[in-house]
Amino acid sequence: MRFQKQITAAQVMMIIANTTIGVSVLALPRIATEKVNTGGFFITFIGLVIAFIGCIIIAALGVRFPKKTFIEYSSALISKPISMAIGMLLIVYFILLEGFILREFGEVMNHSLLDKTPIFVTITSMIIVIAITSRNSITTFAHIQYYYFPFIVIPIFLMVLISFSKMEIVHLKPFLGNNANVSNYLRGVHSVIGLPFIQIGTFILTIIIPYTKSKKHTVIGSILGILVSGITILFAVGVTMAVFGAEEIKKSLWPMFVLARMIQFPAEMLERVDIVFIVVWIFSAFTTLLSGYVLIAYISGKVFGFNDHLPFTIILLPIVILVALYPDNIQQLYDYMEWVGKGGILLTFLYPLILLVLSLARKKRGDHH
Amino acid sequence: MGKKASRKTIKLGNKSVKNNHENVNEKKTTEPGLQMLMELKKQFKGDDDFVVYEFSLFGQYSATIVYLTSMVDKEMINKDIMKVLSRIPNPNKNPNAPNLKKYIQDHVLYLTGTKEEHELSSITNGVLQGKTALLVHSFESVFLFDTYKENQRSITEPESEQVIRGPREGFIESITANISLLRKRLPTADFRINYHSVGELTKSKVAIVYLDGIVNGRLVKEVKRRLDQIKIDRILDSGYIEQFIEDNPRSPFPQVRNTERPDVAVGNLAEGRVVILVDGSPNVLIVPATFNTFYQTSEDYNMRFIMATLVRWIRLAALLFSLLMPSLYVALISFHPELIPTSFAVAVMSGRAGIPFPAVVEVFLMEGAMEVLREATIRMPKQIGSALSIVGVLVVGDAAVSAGFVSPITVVVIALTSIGSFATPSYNMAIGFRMVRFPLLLITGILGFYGFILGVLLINNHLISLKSFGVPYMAPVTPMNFGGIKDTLFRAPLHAMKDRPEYLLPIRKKRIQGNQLNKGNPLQPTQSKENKRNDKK
Repeated sequence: MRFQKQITAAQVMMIIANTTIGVSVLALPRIATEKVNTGGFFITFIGLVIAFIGCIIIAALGVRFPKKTFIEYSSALISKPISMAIGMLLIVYFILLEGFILREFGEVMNHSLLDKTPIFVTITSMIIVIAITSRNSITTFAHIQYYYFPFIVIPIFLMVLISFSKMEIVHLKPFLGNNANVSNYLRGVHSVIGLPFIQIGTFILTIIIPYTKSKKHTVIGSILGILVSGITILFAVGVTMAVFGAEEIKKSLWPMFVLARMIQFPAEMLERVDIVFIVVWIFSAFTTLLSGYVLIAYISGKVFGFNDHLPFTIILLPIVILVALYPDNIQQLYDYMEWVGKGGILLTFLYPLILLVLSLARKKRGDHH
Repeated sequence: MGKKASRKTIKLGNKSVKNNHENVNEKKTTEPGLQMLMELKKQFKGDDDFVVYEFSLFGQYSATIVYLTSMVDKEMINKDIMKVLSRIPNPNKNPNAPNLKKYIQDHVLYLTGTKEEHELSSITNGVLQGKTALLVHSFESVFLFDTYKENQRSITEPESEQVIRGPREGFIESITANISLLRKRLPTADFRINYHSVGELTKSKVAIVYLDGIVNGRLVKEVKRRLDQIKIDRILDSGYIEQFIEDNPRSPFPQVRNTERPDVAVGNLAEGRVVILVDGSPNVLIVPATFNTFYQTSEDYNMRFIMATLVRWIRLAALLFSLLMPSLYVALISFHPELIPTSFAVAVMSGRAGIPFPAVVEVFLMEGAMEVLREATIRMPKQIGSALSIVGVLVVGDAAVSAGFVSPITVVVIALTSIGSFATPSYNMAIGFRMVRFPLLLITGILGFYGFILGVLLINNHLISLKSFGVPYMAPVTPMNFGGIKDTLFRAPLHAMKDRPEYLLPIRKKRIQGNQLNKGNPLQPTQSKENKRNDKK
């Protein structure tokens, strides 16, 4: 056997869920409501359905080639040079995304914990932790993701549960959004699925498929993963919108963060309970960034013809930091992020779809012998 | 050696034993036993311990016994070997040369563990191990009698792993005694021992013990493979072996468990692990080890399960305390005082008023002092040790506070940390956590709570990526297996733990088949049908 096939369905599920739930979720309610006001919840839903489809496409492709990595089977399907060129594009694209998520995380941290620390320090320390952790095998990567899953999902549900009492359904009406037309909707959905966490969340599947135990594990795991993360995100977005209302949400940068701040526990153990949620956001940012970093390192290893991804864990470090430091301010960051994310949909949704169609049409499979 | 030739020489010897013997010594004749003796003498030249005693075997053959006087049981040599070999046998049964060997074995010696050797090296080794060699001068083969006399202390309770409830026996330095302690508890034919000799000088006996049919064969093979690769001149304790066979020597956390308790070793054998014993060391090694095994004790299984679970949580909390407390304290005090409830914050701040250092430096100093004290207490003789700890803790701590050197709350935090690390049953895990605490403190001192979380992330990820003989260190938490969880955070009732730990991939997965207890109520017999039936019988 070429790989150690050890990753189970539960691990696939948690990898996808952890990767998808990232810092960007903090800003998601704002991004969704910007275009269509109260229709934000619905847009998030549509966005997640599309992400689900994207995930299924990649899973279907992976199941057809269970022993090969993405770059390997794409070069078998559409000649090697094209596959390599697109591989390069993917690397650049994910480096940009990784850098932007890192910057976003840094901004959140500086906003909440370290207001006097230069952003460079926050960013660099985090990415070093990630680079060190990414120097493990994919199986260990799956174990790490598995470990953090409860620390991320349970507190978010707890936050949703506690906030239920403050919810006002009026804020969610009209459900389809006021003064929203089709073009607004399309633009809104486009921005939501362009968000980096969804992109990395679906694409991380391409590198873990060769290590999963069986096809069944891959399929069940990916469906469950996107369902779990979708439900978590939907709940969190819905509750945030129901508590604040569309107008309020537009005013704050990270509406979900404000929601966490409002929570109070009856016993006065800590003055601010949101420190617990800061830990959750650090964990979720860590898992998302780790997935992104491992993804880039593995794709790079394959494209540049290395045996493993280890050299890239070091090479990538300064590049990602540079990208993260490039935007001047947070406004610019979100502009770039939207622009890059929207463009990237071609790469992460259309390209796998084309590959799948090609593979079906040419009846090429990699699971024989 | 041809039959004829040997008969000839023996006849010669029959005529004049002594004379012949002297001649041989001078001339270096073809007598093979004698040649062997010369070479042995050459090897042990200058060793005053080496005894060569010549005598006449059955009054007919010249022979020599050879042994190291400090290693052997002299009474046994005199009584059981020399006495019977020197006696002149019944003339009817007079042994002749070709079946002399068989005669000695069948009719004269009543010793088990007698071996016949031809190679010089194995004879030398045998003598070095306390065996007595019998060389019949005209014979090629040499008899080795096991006359080793062991000096061993009696079996006592291990001081590092004391229990309130449980056996008081502990391993000692003798490997045979240790194996007998294990065998006594496991009267099964599946019990397997494989001996290896490790260390060029010490030739230490290393035993791999496992239960055949339970343990995964690939694990045993890997243990043997790693032991065979060890290249070192001396093995003085099982700690040497541990350092060679562990997966990641650079990690601060132990990947091999050691114990002095036979009951712990047997429990682990029964779960499908491999135990490694080293002659001369009371600590036996258990592989593979996972993180959860380091906060478990044998007592957990002797206690009732609810209590055992609660105690386990306390222990785990203590372990985490010893790692996290100082850093968390620094993060809250010097970076995020707004997180502490107001009334408490005021109390803390007033306590810290007038302290010249930032909280990090203060904690570092006190932690450093604590480590020095702890190390000193270990090295001190017992009687002084207790006095020293009183002086150290009470006097120095109190004086430091009243001198305005540290704040009282810092002393409280440091004390909790130290006590936390004492509550960890495994010393090598506790020391790992103690040492990791300092880098964590450093990063927290620089980046505050954010740094603290990053440090925790790094430690966690390191723990998850560690492996012990291929078993993920954090199993069965990640990768999760529900059967295994029963014996990590919880200690499920004994009858509920039906399976052996899955991550060890044991061959026989079930510990027991069906375990329904039928409990009657003997003092109110009419109430249950079961008892009625029993009464009729």
